[in-house]
This record gives sequence, C-alpha cells and structure tokens, in this order.
Amino acid sequence: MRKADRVLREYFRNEVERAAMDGRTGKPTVAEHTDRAVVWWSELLCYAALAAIVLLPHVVKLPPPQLAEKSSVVYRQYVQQPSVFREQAQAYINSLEQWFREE
Amino acid sequence: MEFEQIWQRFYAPMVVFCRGFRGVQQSGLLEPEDLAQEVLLKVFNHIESYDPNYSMTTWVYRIARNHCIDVLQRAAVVHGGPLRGDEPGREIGPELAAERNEQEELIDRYLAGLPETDRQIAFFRFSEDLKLREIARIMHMPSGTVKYRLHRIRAGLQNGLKEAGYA
Repeated sequence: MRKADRVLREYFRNEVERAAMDGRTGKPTVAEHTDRAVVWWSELLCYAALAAIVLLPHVVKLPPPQLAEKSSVVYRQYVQQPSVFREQAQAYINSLEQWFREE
Repeated sequence: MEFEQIWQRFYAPMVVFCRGFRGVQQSGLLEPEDLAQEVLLKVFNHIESYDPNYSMTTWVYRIARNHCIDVLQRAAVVHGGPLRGDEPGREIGPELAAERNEQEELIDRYLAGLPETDRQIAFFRFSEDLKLREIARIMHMPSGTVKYRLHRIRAGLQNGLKEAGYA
C-alpha cells in the first residue's frame, strides 16, 4: 500500500500548492483584524482621558470665573488698544498673584 | 503568534480541508476559501486559549472542523436540506478538474466516493502528516477506529490504482 500512500501525499501536496497559489491574491491584511493589545490600550487611553476631564478641576485649582472673564477683557484691549494693554495686563497679573497668595 | 504566521502556515491546507466537506461543494453557497478565512480569524481571535502543551495543528483543525460543521448545519436549516453527512458525494468544479492529470482524477473520484469522515482522515494523515491519536482527537473518535478507516482508505485506493494499471 506504499503506492497508495505516496500518491495520496502527492495529491494533497499538489492540492495545497494550488490553493496557496490561488490564495495569494485573496489574503486579508492584518489591518482588517483587531489586535487585542491595541483594543486594550485604546480603551485604557479613553478611560484615562475621561478620568482626567472629570478629576482635573478637583485636582488643579482653577481661577474663579470673574478672573477668567477679566482675562478675555484684557485680551480684547490688547487687540483694540495696544497702548493701554501693559497697564491692564499688569493689573491682571497683580490680581492673579493676589489670588494665588490667598489660595 | 501573529496572524501572518497563522495565515502562512494554515491557509492553503485549510482551503483543501474545507473543500472536503460535502456541503461546501454541493451547496454552491459556501466557498472553501471563505470558510478557511473564517476559521483562521476564529483561530486568531481565540489564540489565548491555545494550550502549548498540545499540538497547534490539532487545535487549529479541531476549531476548523467544528466551525465548518456549525456553518453547514446553519446553511442546511436556512436552505432546507442536509449539506453534510457521512455519505459519499463530493464533486469537484470544472476549473479544478481541468488542472488535474489522470492519476489525480482517479484519486479525486476515489476520494469523492468516500464518506466525508474518511476524506478528512485521509487529509489529516497524508496532507498534515498527523499521528493516529491526533486525528482521533480532532475527529472525536477512538484511535482504533481511525486506524481501521485509514487502512480501508489505503487498501481501497491501492485496488483502484491496480485496476487502473498504476500499480
């Protein structure tokens, strides 16, 4: 039965070679598949970003709203009246410094 | 293991394996290339559950066989007819037939006349060179049964070759 074994091996080898030749054009790229490590890191980054957005105001003390409003007023004056900007900016810096001292 | 490595190692033999299912050839709805791709994606997605103490080939073909059986059973439900079974009946397409020489045609006809299970056993033994116990694990049958069926396959082909004047 060695002949049978030999021809069967040869037959399947030829079949596999034909399938390999046909398959070279139809191979999907690895990009089509989702890498588990990539998914894991993406999820981790998303959660970290979400946590940062939620926790940041509690961790970093931000200036009160009236100061934030003042900063936009100072910027407008810089654009519209550059000559008085220095004075206004100094006043703004002073108020910020005062706020930091109080905090 | 990277997908590329799995693909390089298993795609071509997987196409041949999937082609051996009676339902694949007869239904005309399931292409062996598509089935092979599905199987390899499944293998890649479950690679973490692979136990390196066992043979990779055995593990892959167990997944492949179960997947093909599932798909063919679902197709049978949808299209209202048995697409798999242990009865003979596989037929090859005209494109494949044109590429074969006389001896290959003879083997084609012989394998087509075998039960699906025997075709798979022949594939595992002569294409993947698996041991009897590995084939038995994939096929969910005792090693003794595999041995008996393998002997029957070889003896049958030997007779066929003799009758055709090849041996």
